[in-house]
Amino acid sequence: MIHLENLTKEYDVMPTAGKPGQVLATDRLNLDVAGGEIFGLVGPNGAGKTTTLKMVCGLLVPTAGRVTVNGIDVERQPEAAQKHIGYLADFFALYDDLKVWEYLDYFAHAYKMEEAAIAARIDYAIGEMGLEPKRESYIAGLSRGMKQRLGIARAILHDPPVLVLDEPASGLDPKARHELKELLRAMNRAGKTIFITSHVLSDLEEMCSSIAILEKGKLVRAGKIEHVMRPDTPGRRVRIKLAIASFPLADWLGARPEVSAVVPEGNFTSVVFAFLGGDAELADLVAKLVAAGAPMCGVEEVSESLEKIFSRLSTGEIM
Amino acid sequence: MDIFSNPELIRNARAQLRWGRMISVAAICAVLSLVTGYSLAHEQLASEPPGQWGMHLLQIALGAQVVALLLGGSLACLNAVHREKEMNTFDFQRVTRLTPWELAVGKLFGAPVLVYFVVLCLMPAALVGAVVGGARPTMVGAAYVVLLLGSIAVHAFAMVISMLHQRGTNTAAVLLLILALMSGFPTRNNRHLFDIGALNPFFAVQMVEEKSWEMVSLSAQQAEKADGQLSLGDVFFGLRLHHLPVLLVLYASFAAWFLLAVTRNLKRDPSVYELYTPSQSLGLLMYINLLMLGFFRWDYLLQTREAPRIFYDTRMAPNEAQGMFLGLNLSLFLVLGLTLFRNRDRIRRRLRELGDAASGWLAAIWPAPYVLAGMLLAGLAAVGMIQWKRDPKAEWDLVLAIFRLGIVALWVVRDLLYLQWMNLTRIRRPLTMGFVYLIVFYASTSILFFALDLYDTPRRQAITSFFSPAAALGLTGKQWTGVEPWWLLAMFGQVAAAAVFAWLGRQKLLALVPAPAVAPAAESPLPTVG
Ligand SMILES: Nc1ncnc2c1ncn2[C@@H]1O[C@H](COP(=O)(O)OP(=O)(O)O)[C@@H](O)[C@H]1O
Ligand SMILES: [Mg+2]
Repeated sequence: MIHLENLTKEYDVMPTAGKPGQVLATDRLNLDVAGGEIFGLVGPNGAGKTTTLKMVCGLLVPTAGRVTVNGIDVERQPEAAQKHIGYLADFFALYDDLKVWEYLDYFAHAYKMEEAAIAARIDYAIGEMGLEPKRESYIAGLSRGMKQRLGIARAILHDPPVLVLDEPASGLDPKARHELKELLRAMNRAGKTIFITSHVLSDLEEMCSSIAILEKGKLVRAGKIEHVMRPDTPGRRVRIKLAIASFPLADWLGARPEVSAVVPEGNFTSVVFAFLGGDAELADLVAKLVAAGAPMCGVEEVSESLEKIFSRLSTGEIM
Repeated sequence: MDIFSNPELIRNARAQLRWGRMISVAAICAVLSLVTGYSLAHEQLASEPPGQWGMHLLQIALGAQVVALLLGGSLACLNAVHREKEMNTFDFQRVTRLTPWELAVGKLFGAPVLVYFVVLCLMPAALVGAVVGGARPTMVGAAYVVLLLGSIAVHAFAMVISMLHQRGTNTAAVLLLILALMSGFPTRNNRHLFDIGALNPFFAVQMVEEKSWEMVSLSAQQAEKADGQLSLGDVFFGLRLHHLPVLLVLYASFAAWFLLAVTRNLKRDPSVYELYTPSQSLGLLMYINLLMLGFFRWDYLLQTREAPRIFYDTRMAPNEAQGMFLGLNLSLFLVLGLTLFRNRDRIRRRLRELGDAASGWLAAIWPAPYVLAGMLLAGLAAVGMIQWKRDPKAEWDLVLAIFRLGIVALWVVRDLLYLQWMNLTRIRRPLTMGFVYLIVFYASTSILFFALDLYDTPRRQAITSFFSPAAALGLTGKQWTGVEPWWLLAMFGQVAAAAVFAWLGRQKLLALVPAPAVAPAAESPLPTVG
C-alpha cells in the first residue's frame, strides 16, 4: 500500500560549532506498509518520523528516493495519491473561526466528495468521534481532546483507504488515548490501512501489526510486531563488546554461518546477534575473533525485548 | 467548478461574514452614506449645477470603495497564504483535492470577502449619487469594471508576495506592495515619458465625471492645464487607443501573470517553489519591454516632432533614451535573475538526479545565459526603436550603443552570479545579506571615486566602470572616443568578475555533491525481521 524506496531528506540548518550545515532527517529508508496493517513508526523526537510522513503525503519533496501509495508515485502525481490518504499532523491546526460542522463541510467539499453523500458522511464522522454536542460550537472553544477528535474526523471524512497519523495520541489524557486506540482498531477492522507514529512505544505495541524503529533518520528494525518484539530467529542472543571500534565486528560476524541477525550498537563498539550453537562453539567463535585481532573486552548472553532496545534507543545509546 | 461553490471561498465567507458583523458593517456604511449625502446636498453652492452634490457623493463613495479594496483587500491577500502557513493549516489544504487554481481563486476572492461586502454596502450611496449627479451610466459601469479588475490584479500580486513570504513579520511585504501601488499613480513625470493615463484604480473616480467617450489627447489640450490625468487617450506605437481598454488589458494581463505564479507553486513544497519557468520569466520581461517601448513618447522626447511646451524640459538625446531603457531593464532583469535562482535544496536534488552535470560549469553560470539573452533581446529592441525614431541630426553611434548594451548586460550578469553564489553560502538570509553587501559596495566605491575625482575625465570614468558601470548607461561619444581600450577593459572586467563568481559558485555546488557511499562497516544492513 505504502512503499518507501531509498527515501532520503536532507535539511539545511545553520551550521553551529562542530556541526555540519545539513541534517539527514531520513536516510535511505526502505519500508513496505501492506494493505490492512496498522504500521507503527517509533522513534525518539527528531528521529525523522514527521519528515517521513510528510513525504508520504506529498507535502515535502524528498531529496532522493521515492514514495508510492497504492502504486502511485507521490511526487509525480500528488493529487492522485492524496486521494487515498487521510492525514493528521502532529499539531492541532484548525480554523478557530469556524463551527465544527462547517469545518468538516469545508474539507468534504475540498476533497470533492459527492454532493449527495456529504451530509451523511459529516454526520457519520461527527458521530464516530463523539462530537454531536459540539456540532454547532466554534472550534476556538473546543478542548484539546475535542480538537484532536475533530482532526481525526477530518482525516477519515473522505473515507480514504490509508490513514497517515502523526503522533495522534500526544497531548491526550489516558482515557482519550484508550478511546483513540479502540477507534483505530475498529477502523482497521473495517479495512483501513493505518500508518501511525509515536515516540512512546507502549502506545503502539498493543495495536500495531507491524512496527519500524527509526533513529536519527535510519531504520533500526522493521517487521511484524511479533518478530520484532520476540524475534523468532533461532539461537541465543549474544552481545560482544570491543574496547575500541577498530575492528569490523558486525561485518566479520555477518560472514559466519552460525551467526544471524547482527545488530550493531553504540559507536559500533558492541554488537548483538543470534547464535546457533552451544558454549563450546561460542568459545571457539571468541577465540577466532581474538585471533583475527578484535580488541574484545566482553561477551554476555542477553534476553532483550523491544521495549528495552527502544529505551536505549531513546537515550541515543544505539547508533 | 463554479466560483460560488468554491469551498475555499465559502470557508472564508463563513468565517468572515457572520450575521452580527455583517449587520454592524452595513449599519456603519449606511450612517456614513447618509451623513455624507446630507451634508453634501446642504453645502452645495448656488453657483454649481443642481445635481452636483450627487456627483460628489458618487466620487466619495467610489473613492472609499477603491481605498477599501486596495488597502484592505491587499492586506487580506497578503495574509491569505502566509497566515495559513503560520497557523499550520496550510498543509491540510495542500493534501485536499482542490486544484491549485481553485485554491488560488478561493483565496483571491475569499480573503478580502469582508472588504467586498463593505464595497457592496457603499453601493446605494454611489448609485444615488450617480442618478442625482447625472453620471453617464456606461461610465459608471466602466468605472466599476476598472475597480474590480484593478483590485484583482493588485490582490493577485499580494498573493504572490504572501506565498513567497517567509515566516516573520509582514511589514516589509506591506511596504513593498504599497510602493508598487504608488508607482502606478499618475505623475507629471511618467506621463511625460509614456503616453498612457493613470494606472491605478483611482482612475475610476475620475472616469465617472466624464461625459463623453471622446479621446482627448494630451497634446491637443492647453499645455498648462494638461497634467495627464484627464486624458482618455493613450498612444501605443503611434496608435491612438482609449485608456479604458488599455487599462483593462493591462490589469487582466498582469493579473494572469501573477495568478500563473500562484497556481504554479501554491500546492508545491515551499522549498522547491519556482515562480516561473525560465521561459515564462523571459516572456514576462519581454511583455513589459513591449509595453515600455510601445507607450514611450518617441516623437516628442526624441525631438523629431514639434512638441507642446510641457515637453521642452524632458527632451532626451538618443543615448539618454537608451540609457533609460537600459536602467529600467537593469532592475527588471535583476528581479528575473532572482526568480531563477537555485537554492541549496534544488541543487541537492539536481545533484542526485543529474549527477555530475549538476555541478559542472554550465550549472555554475546559471542563470546567466537566460539573463544575458533577455538583456540583449530587450536592449536590441530599444536600440532598433531609437535607430528608427531618432532625429537624424542628433548624436547617435550604433557601435557605441551596442557597447553600452553589452557592458550593462554583463554588469547584470556579474551581480547576479555574485548573488547566486551568496544564495548558496551558509549564512542567515543569504540573499538579503548579498544585497546589503552589494549596496555597501556601490555606496562606498562611489564615495571613494567621488573623493578621488575619478568621474572628471573619460578615462577615469572608464576605470570606475570596472567596478560599477553606471557611467556607461549614458555614455556619450565624447566620453568614448580616444579611450575605447579603457572602456573595453572595463567590459572585460565585468566578464572577469563574473567568472570569479561563477568559480566561487561552482565550489559551492561541488561542496553539495553527496558523499560517496559510506564505509561498508557503517552500512552493514540491519536485520529486517519478518
Ligand atoms: N524544516 C526543517 N528545517 C530544518 N531541519 C528540520 C526541519 N524539519 C525537521 N528538521 C530536522 O529533521 C530531523 C527530523 O525531524 P522530524 O521529522 O520532525 O522528527 P520527529 O517527527 O521524529 O520528531 C530533526 O533533527 C529536525 O531538527
Ligand atoms: Mg514529529
